[in-house]
Amino acid sequence: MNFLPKQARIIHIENMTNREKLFELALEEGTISHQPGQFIMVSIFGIGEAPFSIASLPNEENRFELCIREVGNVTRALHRLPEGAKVWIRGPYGHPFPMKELKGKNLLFVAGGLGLAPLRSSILYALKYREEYGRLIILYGARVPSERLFIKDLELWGKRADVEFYETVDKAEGGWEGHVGVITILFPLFEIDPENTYLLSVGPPIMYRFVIREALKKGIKEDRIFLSLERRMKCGIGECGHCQISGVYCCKDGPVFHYPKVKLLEEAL
Amino acid sequence: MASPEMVLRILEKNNLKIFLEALLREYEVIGVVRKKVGTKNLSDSNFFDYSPLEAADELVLDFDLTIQPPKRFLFPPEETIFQFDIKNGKIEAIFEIKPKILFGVHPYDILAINLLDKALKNNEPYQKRRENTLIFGIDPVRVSPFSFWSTMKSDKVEYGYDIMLTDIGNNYVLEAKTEKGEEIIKQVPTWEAFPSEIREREKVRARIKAICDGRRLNFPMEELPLMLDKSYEHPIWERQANKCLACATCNLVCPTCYCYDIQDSLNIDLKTGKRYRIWDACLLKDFAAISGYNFRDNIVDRYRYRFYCKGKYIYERLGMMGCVGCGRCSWQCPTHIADPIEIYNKLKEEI
Repeated sequence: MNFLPKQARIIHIENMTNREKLFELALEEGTISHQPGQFIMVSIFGIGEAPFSIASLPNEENRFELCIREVGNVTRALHRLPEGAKVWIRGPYGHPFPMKELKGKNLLFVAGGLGLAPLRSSILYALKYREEYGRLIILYGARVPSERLFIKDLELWGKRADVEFYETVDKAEGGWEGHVGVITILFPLFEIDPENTYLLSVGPPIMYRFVIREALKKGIKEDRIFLSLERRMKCGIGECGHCQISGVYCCKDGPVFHYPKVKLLEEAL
Repeated sequence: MASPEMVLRILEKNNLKIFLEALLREYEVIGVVRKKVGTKNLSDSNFFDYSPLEAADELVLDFDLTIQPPKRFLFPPEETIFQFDIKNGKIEAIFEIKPKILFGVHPYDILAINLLDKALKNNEPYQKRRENTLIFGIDPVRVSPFSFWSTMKSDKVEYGYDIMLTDIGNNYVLEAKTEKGEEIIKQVPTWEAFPSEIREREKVRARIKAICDGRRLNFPMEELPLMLDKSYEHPIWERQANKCLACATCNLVCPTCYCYDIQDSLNIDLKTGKRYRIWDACLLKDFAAISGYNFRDNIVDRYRYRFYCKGKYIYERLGMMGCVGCGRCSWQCPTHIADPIEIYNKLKEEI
């Protein structure tokens, strides 16, 4: 039967910013078995269901992390739950980033704002199998310094010698000494080998247009670009129509799309 | 599948009542009845809709077009998925099916059901209900002035029904498509059709198709996706959408619209409740909205989207045209902007 959720317990909650919390959940039974870029549906009975990308590393356990911004009915209710509370989940759903196929390649990760949450799963995956990938370049842009997510990860990536990490904020505040400006200002800071570099990006719709332009300018080929698009996933199985982008279902054909496909969709970007 | 030697049978019109009464004893029969709309007497009404039959003589088979398609008897507007108990952490799937017969479905509406079968192939409640529903088709003998099913190649259907009836005057020609249909025909007095009666069936079909041919696309239906490919920025969308109320009547009466939402409702005890599936419509403002952003905020985006879904997207995904040409959308649109023939022909002329 479709749509029957399984119970999960909130085992840890971490306040990340004023708007985002990181929830660690554990399924009461079974494993989550997701791939980087996939999402799950989380429900609070009586309020409803909403889709969330899994932010943690794929594993064969029952635990996983969701970075959730308080923005709608379900997320508001989730933000009011304490550790130990139970929620219901179904999934994972959707088309993931092709991490296995990308082994041996240089990867350019570009995350804007909350887009870091879905992309983090892929970044952690590449770091776990570090020796199997080429260069790892990570770009992250937040609106303001206080909205930076996963600060511990950002610090770690900044320190690692085998990761090229660049970040910026749209607006500086509170003694910020890093880059200031939209994410595309980071592109002149590094060189790439266009023959072997793939772009994996997650961010708000407006960001993609500019990021893609910069990537193409750097010589990255169109068929080496993967994007994760956000829509109103409701059923998760390619049926209910809410997440349709032109003729494709974001929940099933996406959320991770190959750019040559996205390019043909009138409604995508 | 019916055995190959199954032949066309003839049912006398006088025996239709016996046939129906026998069916009503065993099944819930959903048939076409008159609806009292704007007339003093029900019998004067020319408005028809599907309804569970209480008596055999309610059934009308010479209708032109029903107000709504039979979709809702396979895919109800609202359906409980499961009930939940928050306190005990329990969920219970709820599902009930009753075997039923849809009696009197025109070929274009059968094609629409065939499309739903594909689009909802992973939807268990739909599929179970579909398996438990027999479909008795009927060839139309009247054509709504809004219909254009012949140009959409929906005057004939190859599968998706158990029995097809054709009115040839004093009698009906009965064609069994499935074993179940064959079994049911055996229970009523019929005789093997004479070649003249079989020829009459073809004549009736050709005559009615010719009437429907009066409203047609000015290009072959198969070119529709390609034509839409070139029309996304055409000013017609803005022009028409200016008159659109975004009321979603076109979605509501469409036999191939199947989009839905999933919602919760709590009982008054605030501890128990249900999760249910409910029809949704792409013309409604919040259809593509997420918290903080609406991907189709403007009416023109939603208005255009529906024509693309019907003429291109569904075709590309399912290999079947998303519009069967029933004409219900243009009939019932309060501002008369939903006619696919008008839009598609205009685009063809202007691109």
